[in-house]
Amino acid sequence: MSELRWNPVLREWVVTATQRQERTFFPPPEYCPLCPTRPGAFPTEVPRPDYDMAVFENRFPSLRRNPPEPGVAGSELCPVRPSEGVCEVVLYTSEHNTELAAMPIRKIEQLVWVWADRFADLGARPEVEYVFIFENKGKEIGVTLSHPHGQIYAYPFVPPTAQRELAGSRDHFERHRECLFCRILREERADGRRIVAENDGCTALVPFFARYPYEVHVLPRAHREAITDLDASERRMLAEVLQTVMLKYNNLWNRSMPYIMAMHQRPTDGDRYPHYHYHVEFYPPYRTEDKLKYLAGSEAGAGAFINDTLPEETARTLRETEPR
Amino acid sequence: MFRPLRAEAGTVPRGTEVPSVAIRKTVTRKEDGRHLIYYTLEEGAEPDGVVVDDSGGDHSERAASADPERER
Repeated sequence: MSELRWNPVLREWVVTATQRQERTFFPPPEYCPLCPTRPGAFPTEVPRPDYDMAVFENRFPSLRRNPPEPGVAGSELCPVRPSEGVCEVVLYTSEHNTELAAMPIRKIEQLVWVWADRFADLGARPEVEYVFIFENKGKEIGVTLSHPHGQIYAYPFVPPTAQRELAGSRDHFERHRECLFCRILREERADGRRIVAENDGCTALVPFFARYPYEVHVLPRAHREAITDLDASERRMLAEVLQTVMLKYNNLWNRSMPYIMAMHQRPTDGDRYPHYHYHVEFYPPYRTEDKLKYLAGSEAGAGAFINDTLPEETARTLRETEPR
Repeated sequence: MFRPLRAEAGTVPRGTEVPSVAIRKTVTRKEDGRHLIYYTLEEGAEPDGVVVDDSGGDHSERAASADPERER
């Protein structure tokens, strides 16, 4: 069963996808479906005996190219739609026991090009209004396959977080005739207390209004609406800063840091979004070395985040942590 | 501004924005119809950005059209 159900109270679509209950759950390494198919071994999602990077449609998708009709009747109040879209898996490497942070910078640069290619391809589909590129890393985040990989959801609607960011940045643009994110960047760089790392093309910072402890945003300093707008040198510099942030996370407590990495960019619905600024957000789930930050009553029930840390302090800690 | 090619032509046109990597893109389909795309970093090749190779997959893959997403 799979469909989109409209919530008229929150004015948002909810995706039901009961087939995902059957998805592979922490198989032993020799049965990893994301490894290449080794000679004589069981067939995986990738039939070749080796690969560099690969992208395929998720076997257990929340959204699909040819979705079934909804399994439930909608109403005027609560309409339903087929769960049309695309869910892709992005395999960073054929090597099972590694992670993105540990890869050579040229591999991460390659990944930026792959992300841009997928954004362009999926965003060109007429039913796709928003391409969301992300990575869930670590058991704490709910990852069920440990092989290094990310995901892409091509939604037939603009999801709620993007809508809120678009509305906020549009309002600022109309009132001040400048990009909200460009202003944040300018003011944060002038202040300096929340800067984590930067090069000539990108800046990593803990936002003044961070919701998660050790939350980091990475923004290109030039005004860009989407990853496809980054030129070659900017892609290289994005890869460098992303790797720096991930290495700092790992070295913070000398272990592989779990995180959600979320790429925010303009919709692909055909409208223009000159007020929006492409960026990448990281949300690690830990508030201390051994304590998780749970989304509990205030966050889940009221939508009001309680951050147990000061962004100025977490930024200083990350800034002083070597990206070895 | 350089923009990566869609999978509809052979190679990326050379422009003033020269990427520092060369990536080959091979589009295939799995037996159940899902697409599977290989992206290969070509060390030592002249930088070209993303180059589309639609010559097809290997023994267990069926060569796809240049862009499997352009079905409708």
